[in-house]
Amino acid sequence: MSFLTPLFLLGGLAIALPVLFHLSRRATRKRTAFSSLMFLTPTAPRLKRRSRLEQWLLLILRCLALALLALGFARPFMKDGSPMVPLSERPRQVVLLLDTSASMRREGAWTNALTKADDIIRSLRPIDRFAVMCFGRETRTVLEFSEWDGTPPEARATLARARLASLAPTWEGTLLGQALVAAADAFSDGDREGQDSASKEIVLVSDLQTGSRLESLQAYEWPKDVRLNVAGVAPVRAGNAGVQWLAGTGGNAADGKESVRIRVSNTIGATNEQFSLTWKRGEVAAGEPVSIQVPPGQSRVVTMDAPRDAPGVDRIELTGDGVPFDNTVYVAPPEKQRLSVVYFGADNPSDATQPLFFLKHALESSPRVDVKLFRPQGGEGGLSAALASVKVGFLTGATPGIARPLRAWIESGATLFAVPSSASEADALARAVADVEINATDIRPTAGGYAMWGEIDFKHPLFSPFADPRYSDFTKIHVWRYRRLDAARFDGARILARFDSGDPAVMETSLGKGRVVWLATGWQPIDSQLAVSSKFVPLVWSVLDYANVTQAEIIHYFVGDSLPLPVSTNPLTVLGPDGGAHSPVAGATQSFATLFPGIYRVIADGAESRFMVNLDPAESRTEPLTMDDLEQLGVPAQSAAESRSTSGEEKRQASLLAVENEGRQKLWRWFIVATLAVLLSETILAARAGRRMRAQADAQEATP
Amino acid sequence: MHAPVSAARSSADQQATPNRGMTGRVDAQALMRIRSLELRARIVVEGYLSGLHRSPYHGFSVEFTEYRPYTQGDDPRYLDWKVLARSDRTYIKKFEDETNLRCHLVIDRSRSMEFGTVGYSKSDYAITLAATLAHFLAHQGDAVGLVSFDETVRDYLPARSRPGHLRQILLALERPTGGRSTDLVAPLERLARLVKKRGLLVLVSDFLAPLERLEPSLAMLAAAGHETAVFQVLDPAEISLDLPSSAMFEDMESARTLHADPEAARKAYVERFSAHASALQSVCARLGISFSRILTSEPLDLALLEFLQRRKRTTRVRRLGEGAA
Repeated sequence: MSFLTPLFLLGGLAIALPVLFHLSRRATRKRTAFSSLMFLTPTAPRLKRRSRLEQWLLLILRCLALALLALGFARPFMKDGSPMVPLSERPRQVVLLLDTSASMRREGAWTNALTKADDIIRSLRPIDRFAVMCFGRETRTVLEFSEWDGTPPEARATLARARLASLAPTWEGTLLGQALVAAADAFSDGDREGQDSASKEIVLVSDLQTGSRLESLQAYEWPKDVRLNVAGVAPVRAGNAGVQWLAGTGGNAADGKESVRIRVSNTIGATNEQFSLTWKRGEVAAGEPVSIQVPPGQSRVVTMDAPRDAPGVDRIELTGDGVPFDNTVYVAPPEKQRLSVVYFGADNPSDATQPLFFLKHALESSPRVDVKLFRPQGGEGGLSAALASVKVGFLTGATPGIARPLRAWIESGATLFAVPSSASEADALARAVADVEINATDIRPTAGGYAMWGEIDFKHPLFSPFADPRYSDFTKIHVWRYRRLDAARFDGARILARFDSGDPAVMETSLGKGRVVWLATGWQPIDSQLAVSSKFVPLVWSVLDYANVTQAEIIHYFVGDSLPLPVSTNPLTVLGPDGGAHSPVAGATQSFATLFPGIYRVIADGAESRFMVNLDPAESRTEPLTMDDLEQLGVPAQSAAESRSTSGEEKRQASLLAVENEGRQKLWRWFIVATLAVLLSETILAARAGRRMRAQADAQEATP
Repeated sequence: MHAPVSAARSSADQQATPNRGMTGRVDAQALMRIRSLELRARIVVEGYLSGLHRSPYHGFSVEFTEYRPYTQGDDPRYLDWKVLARSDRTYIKKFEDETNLRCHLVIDRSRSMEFGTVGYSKSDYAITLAATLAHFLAHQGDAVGLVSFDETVRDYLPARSRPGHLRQILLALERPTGGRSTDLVAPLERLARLVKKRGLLVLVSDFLAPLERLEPSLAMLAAAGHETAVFQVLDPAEISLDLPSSAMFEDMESARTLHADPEAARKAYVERFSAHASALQSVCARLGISFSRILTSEPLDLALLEFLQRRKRTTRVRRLGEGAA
């Protein structure tokens, strides 16, 4: 018989208590009051042998009850006959899970990891199976069980070492939870016949940084037969400071400065707390460094103004930290965009009754955008040259003599926002750009004195910024007069908005690669209230966006994120931070996976989008996780040192077996039942003895 | 000057009136079963009187005249002119003013007095004795007072002889006390201050206290000119340590405990006890104090008789002594 919790047997020592009580019970139980003790000398109590002998049965019963109770608590069990196969002789299935996240770039971490991996490969025997997986944000299988099985035993180690040699730390974050789940699942995928008795073991070679994400384990039930051995990899330096891009504050209109908010965090246990931040263009510093003090375990947010005299700065570097992998944050302050907009019209820009006056104010330059609104000069030849680099134009007046170059310009892909000021001008423009007679008529609404915007197609890019119900009310804009345009005359005209009378208010017609957006009424006060409404400026900029001349916002991504590519029929070019150009197949690939931190440029249809791709800030949290963190998520982790001791493992197995046997046999119940039975008989005996003693005492008193 | 018998005898008490034995003594056990203290006292006194068939009036205060030859220097006022006229001899008539005795009964009510193995405690016996004496004295017309004490004076009733005073004394005796230890020093000092006028002090106690503490107190009383009579009331078991089995003994006064086997401890106990008793007796003899030891198992009227006879002797001795002086 063995015991699961033999320490409880010490409780058997309590047997001494009833023995003591039985011995000392005779000491004195009766007190007699006496008038004065001044003449009395104390005498030692005399023990009567008779009384001890009388209750030996009770004593035995009491001792027995305690002994049985102690035995019951010690959880006894009988060992069954099945011999345990020593762990060292059983085949092993090992998945080596290698961390290749960016934090493994720390000095010494990767070489240490490779050494540990090599140790594991060396410990494998021909009966063992082996697989290698590496993980950052993604978990990749480097060597599968099937490949291992398919390779002759003598070549297996070489194969595994060759696969390991092909690996290197990436710039990705660490999704440790996902990787562990994948590794645990690899056993079920790689199971084969005759491997039931094999022990399943995941060896995690990782720096176990706190920034590892373990959420995936929360919803995962860890298989009972899979053990996780953690081979922690310690880098040379313990502390680490990192930078994180928080937000670009946008241009400051007053001084035109671009600023960026940066968080600098320092890990607990770091030795340094004095750092400086410097703007850089490539590897060249630009501007003065900014000093910052971040005590260990804390973080600070700094607003960095982009140096005005150094255009093209693209990163901020942290100096003062000995662990450089996360000391650079790539920032692309948006460069000032130059927009050229051509205006066809003869009106005076300073006349507040004319359209140009309002358009000029709507297209004011901003710190981000420099708008150049110009009227084409010169004859036809000069016009063509002037329009060559312009993609968008507004037309409010007659077009005598420029019909041909205008049409050619539109057909080349430009967008013209045409606002004819009269029916005759509308007819002339229609003739010039589309060869159609539209027979436009001037309308002055009589009912109520004005027309209103009615149906608007908010799905169209021109009006999509107004789609929100908060901005979609155009009814406050009264239209005093407009031109009735016959959409049916145009081939493929699309009506984007109508007046309440049903006449088209905004209409789009295509011409070659370009398009003409017709506005049936002017925005100047003589035609409508459009120019003085809140819709005017957004509408004008919406036209520019529709013409695809404005630049997209800079969007922030982490390494491993996929960049969304614009939908385009033309070939795209993605310029990575390494300088290499990639050309994903147009249409087929809608995203582009990033592998390095830096600024990515996507060039499509001549327009360039820039993407900031930085390191996952969680990688900067390099304090090591503890085994408890994994245990809390239900993963029975043990450190490599623990797992190495085979005797310890066998002991664990034996104790598991003992627990199982004990749980099945449940002998303790019988011991408790026996204890209760003994206690019951003790109670009965004690009651009898008590009665007898009382009777004797009474008899003694009766016979003085 | 009879004290009025105010309490009517209850029928139970009538039935419980103890029979007198052949000797005419009242059995103490039977007597103590009577609940009424007054009745107990009366039974003893009447039994004593009827058993004696002698004049009741020969108590303390009965005048006793004597003649002695006139010697030079005596006050001629006290010459008995009748005797001179009859026999022509000059005799001085001793002062024969009839004075009433002032007697204070001093009763120990400490906790050690609660001990008893004969069915009642020493305290019961002591207060019955006190009541008997009070009854007897009141019956004779003497002034009786009461002082009960434990470690201090609990009750003090000055000696008076007016009707109803006996009743008060009996009530005070019947009142239960929560006394603790015996300390004769403080109560007797207090008593000496309270009782200025010389008279008879009857001290009833077990005197189970160190003698070196008792002696000064008794000496003080004697020195104050009081005629003092001491009754040491003891339980028979206290003398012989006649207890059944070994036990943890607890001191009733100090709550001190010790284990003793009576059989083993008896010899030493008896020796020490009798040494104490004889020392007390000799102290009393030295101080001129009348000492009587009464066991609670003894008949009470015997104690009364013994006391009166002894007193008669001592009074005579004293008077003779005074006369000689």
